[in-house]
Amino acid sequence: MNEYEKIKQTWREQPIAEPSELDFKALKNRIGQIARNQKITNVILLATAGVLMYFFYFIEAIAFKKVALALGAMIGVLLIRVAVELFSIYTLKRLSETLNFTGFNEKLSKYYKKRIGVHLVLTPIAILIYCYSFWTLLPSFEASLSKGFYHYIVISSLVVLVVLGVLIFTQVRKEIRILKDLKND
Amino acid sequence: MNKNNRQFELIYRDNFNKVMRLCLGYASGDKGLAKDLTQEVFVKVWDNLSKFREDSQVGTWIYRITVNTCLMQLRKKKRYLLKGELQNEIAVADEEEGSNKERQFKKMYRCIAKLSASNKTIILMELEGLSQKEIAAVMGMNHTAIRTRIHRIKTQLSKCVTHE
Repeated sequence: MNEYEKIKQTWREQPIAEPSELDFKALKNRIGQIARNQKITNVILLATAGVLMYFFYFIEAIAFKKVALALGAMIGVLLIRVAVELFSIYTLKRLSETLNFTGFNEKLSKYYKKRIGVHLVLTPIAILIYCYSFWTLLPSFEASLSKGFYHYIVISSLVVLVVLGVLIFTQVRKEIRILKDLKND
Repeated sequence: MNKNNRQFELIYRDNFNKVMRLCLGYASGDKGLAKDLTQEVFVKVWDNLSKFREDSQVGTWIYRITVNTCLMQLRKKKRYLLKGELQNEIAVADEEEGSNKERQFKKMYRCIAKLSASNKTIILMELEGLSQKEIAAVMGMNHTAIRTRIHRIKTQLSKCVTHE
């Protein structure tokens, strides 16, 4: 018996337990949970859009042209970015795992190239528009809010910006690593 | 129970062992991770069941889903790669204590882990006993290229196991 045949023999001797009823139940629960999570995500997104529109109406933003424009731009870039993210998740889910290895890897590479394009072009533009709109709203905030609340808004938005920056950087780095891994194979 | 449910349960019971073994190969012998990967594979099987044509071979179909799902899940887990390296170190330290069979398993997993994703996929299916034609169908490569690569990987794996 040569070395490879010994490896093959070892491979066959791996102890694998037969699947139990519990394993199958856990699997069916997981499938149900995925479907439920998808429904919950849709409800949350619709509710967020509803709250934003209500807020827009509630503060009578339309009466103040500059405020309306800035708020509209902030809501707009947020919605566009969320739509792109949802489309991306949908595209990844639609990548059929039933394709052969080579075909699947090609599709996955294309997907990650597009994702990196989104991270490096669309996301910075969205952040810039969002920040600029927010900055133009600051005088209105300062005039209508208490000093403490105004400072809270300024500081918390800076913190959110930094956290968002770190998250985006981590995500881009992860996806570049995956793309490199796919290309190396 | 409708037809889809029955068919799914049948596919699950008939293919669980081979999917789990393949996932174990990708997970370097980490049983917990292999179990999670196996579950993820069958979630994908369920998702794609309506697209499965009865006239095509269920074996090749399952292997394609297993290979693509395992690799995609593992690529997302950078921590796992680090953990894998750590596990290898632990495995070396534990080697004196384990039984002869366990030592052989660990050595085999360590050597498989050193291969590239495509080489790992090819050799795992070869170890599972798939024909070169079936491996070529899962990989989307021609038969001759697969034959040459199998020969090369076998040599590489044997050398690694001998020198480990």
